[in-house]
Amino acid sequence: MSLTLLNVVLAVFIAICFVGANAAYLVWCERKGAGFYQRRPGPMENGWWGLLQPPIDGVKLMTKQLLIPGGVDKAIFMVAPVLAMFPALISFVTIPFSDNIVAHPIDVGVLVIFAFAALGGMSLLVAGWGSRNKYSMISSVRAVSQTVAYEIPLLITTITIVMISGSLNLGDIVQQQLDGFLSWNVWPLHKEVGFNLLMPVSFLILFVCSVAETNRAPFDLGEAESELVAGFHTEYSSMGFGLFFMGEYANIVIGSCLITILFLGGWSCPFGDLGIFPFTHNVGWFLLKIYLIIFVFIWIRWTFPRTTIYGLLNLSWKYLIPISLFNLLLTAGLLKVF
Amino acid sequence: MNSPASFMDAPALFSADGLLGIIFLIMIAVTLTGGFIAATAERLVRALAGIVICFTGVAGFYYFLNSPFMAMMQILIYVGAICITISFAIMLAAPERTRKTGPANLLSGPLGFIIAALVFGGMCALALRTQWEPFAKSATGTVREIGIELLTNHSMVFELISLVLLIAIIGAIVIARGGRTG
Amino acid sequence: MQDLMAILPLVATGAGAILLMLAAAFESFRKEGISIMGIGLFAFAFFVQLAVANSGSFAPYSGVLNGMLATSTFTKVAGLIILACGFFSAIAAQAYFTQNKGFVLEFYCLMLFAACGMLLLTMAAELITLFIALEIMSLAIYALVGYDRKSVRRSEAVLKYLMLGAFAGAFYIMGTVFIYAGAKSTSFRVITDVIATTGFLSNPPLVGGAFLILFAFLFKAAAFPFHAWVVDVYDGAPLPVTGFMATAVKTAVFAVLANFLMISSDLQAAWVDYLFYIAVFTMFAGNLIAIAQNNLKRMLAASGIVHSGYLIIALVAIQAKTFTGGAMLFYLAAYALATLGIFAALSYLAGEEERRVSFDDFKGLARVRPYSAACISIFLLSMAGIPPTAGFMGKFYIIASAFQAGHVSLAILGIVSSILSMWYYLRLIVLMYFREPEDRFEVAEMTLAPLGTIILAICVFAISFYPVVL
Repeated sequence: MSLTLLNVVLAVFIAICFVGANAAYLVWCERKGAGFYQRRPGPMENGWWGLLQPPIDGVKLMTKQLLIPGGVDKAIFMVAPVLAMFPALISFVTIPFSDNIVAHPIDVGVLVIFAFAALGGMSLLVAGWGSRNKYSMISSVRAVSQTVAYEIPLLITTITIVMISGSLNLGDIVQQQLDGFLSWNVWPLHKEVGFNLLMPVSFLILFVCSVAETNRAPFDLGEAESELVAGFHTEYSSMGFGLFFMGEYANIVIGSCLITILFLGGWSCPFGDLGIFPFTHNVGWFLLKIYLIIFVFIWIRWTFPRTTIYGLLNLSWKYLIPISLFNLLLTAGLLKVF
Repeated sequence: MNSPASFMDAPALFSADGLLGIIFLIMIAVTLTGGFIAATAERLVRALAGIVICFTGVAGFYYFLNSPFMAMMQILIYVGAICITISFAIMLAAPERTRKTGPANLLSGPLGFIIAALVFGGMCALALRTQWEPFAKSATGTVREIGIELLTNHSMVFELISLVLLIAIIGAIVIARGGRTG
Repeated sequence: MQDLMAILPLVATGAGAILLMLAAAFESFRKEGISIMGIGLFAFAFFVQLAVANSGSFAPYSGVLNGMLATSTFTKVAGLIILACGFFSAIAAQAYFTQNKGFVLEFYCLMLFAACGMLLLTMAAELITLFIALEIMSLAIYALVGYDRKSVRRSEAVLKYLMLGAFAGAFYIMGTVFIYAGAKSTSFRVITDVIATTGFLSNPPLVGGAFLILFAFLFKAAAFPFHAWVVDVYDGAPLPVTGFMATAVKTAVFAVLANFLMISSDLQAAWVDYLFYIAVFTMFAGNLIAIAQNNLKRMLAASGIVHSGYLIIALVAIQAKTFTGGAMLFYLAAYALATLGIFAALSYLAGEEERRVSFDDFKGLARVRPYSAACISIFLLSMAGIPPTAGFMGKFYIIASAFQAGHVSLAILGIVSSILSMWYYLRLIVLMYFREPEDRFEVAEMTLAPLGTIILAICVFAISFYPVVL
């Protein structure tokens, strides 16, 4: 028992480091990426190619005054940033980076991630409400209705995968995709379900939903600068803002981990286990895949304009949910047949 | 009756059992704090936050009782879905106004307190008088077992719950929409 | 197959409700069509239940579907009463909505769902099924009471009902947990066995659990300490819904109370003394409230409390060994007939937007509408327990069973309460017959509701000759 406890504490510590480093340098990537897409260099002054920019930004955020505007609901206002960060950290505990790099392989790992993602949704709401600012308020209502709407297709798609794998354990789900990239769930060639043409579609659904769940562009209605100042974190300064920021990037990382595990074979080598070092199943492939996906996230953000709230909700309720439900039924039927 | 457990019987603090006990007490504290906040808060949103804390504590109980599935479902459904829906209701309905209710009358004040105290006393007496026997562990609480149990022994209830949800949806729509007459 | 036979009425009501729900979505089904469909579906379900009840191929309390439901003659007859209540309430609703605004197409669908929940409630032989049945019934009734949120009175009623109902539901769940802790099962049959081996009073969790569950049921049955909500809720609800609540819900709740107490004679014996006092207080509290009312709906609500008191007498008097529930069912049927009759009559007499609801509004009704007045008088006399109406026979059976069980004082108090209740029943009759009319009582043209009222009035006499085995 105490060993497990130690394990968990250690895992959380490592997760914090991982998330912190990721958040810091994903911001850098994001800015560089933005620069690239807009034909400008991005941050260049601090360090080689601006590589020192993230730590300097961190110092700036930490040393700034923690401003609590008068009239906010203080307790709730203070709790919100913590709530944004903390669920993401817990989710990392169950994510298998490779065969043996996993903090605490819970049998219901998929559920852990969704449960704590739901808590994260709570933080947006609480932040917007606690700020007592109409823009924050509108933003949090938007963000939450978006989260609720996209959680449903996300869950249904995940259930499809869970049905195929017969397990809620993230590690087990990866174990079944180890025979080269044709065995990945993204292809419609799975041995359990035969020829399910909708699998790539549900991969896309999962991808779109994770973009929406993390409130990223083009679905970042919650922080639409042009209309809502900065959305739910308008009133936050210093590390309060910093935590929201880190929470967002932590969620992106978790989203891409989930996509990788469910559809892209986790830590598996795309050519199967060839026995020579880079071509074995190892953590490197996992990191490669998640960073590729994160790159696509950034790519999308700087390529597509923001949607409207109606377009956003319509997309989920009228297209994604029916399609994913249909896929669920189809998969269930195919499972029965094959 | 065996004698009530004394402090001497309690496990050492840093043993496995002791730590488990501490975690258990923390969960109780979280649940009770949440409940207390929910019951006493004047602002609805704070009451909601209290409920969230309370539900999280309950999820902790489930996890502690070796049912991680239930624990995660508790958070996913109660915190992630129900509390967020409640908050929507609050935001759509209530202008934030702290309006004091009138003074408590005889029934809701002292008498209510006495009745509550009696119920509490009764529960305590019940808990202390009973010789609690551990249940024979019938299942490991895995998702597969829960699923099989739901679809065999409790299939009737499982189906009926969908009826409950259907009625809840119809009822909510009928009340919310209003005015669509024949 | 036999399992399916037993739940056939449930399937009929549930499927009917879903059918209505779907029909409401089509443009071609409007108010009239939906109303007729609703009435028809209730009639259909009633005949299905009748057929199942007559098939008589079940042993008493035979378990169905893994022991989650149990059917017996008692549950079947209770189901018949419930569906009949639904049928006549639907007729009343049809009349009501020709004169009142605010009809929603899902009205009959919710009624059928509620009836489905009630049927389940009577058949439930397991605590979790029972709770879900309770929720099915309650949710549908909440929606029926408060569907018109623009009306402040409806909102008040539904809020009171919902809050207290949720509270009672919480107590029920708590009780279930205790019973599960005590008996390691939620099935009635297992609980019976556990009580037979360990005894009831020597098993504290069972005592606590049974206490909390009784608390919840007594709330739903509007017994004495928990009767306060009844008057406001019944007053706030639309007339046909009030009639439905007062009869069908009460039948279901008392059926389930009897089923629950019949788990074991030890269990019943432990609560008899308390139920005795609750019965007495319920009758007298109800009478006192009813005497003070000027509004007809509120008076009927309060008189509903009194009738709950009588039914609790029946609960006190039933014997676990020889239980048939005959007296109770007869009383429920008699009460349901009279109450539904009045509500059906009121549904068309109350006029637009429930205009006439107080005692004074019905002055001289007999001069203008003699048949309606006669029917209402018959119903009131039946409720008061004047021979040869069904109400008299119902009271007679209950008081006789109390005598048989040795509760003489309870029987006498029942008679006293019955005499007290004459006050407010006769008051309306006097007003109708011996005052000059001030109102012309014009109502919209309709056929079904007056016809239903007359059928009910005939039934009041007809079933009083139907013998019951005590």
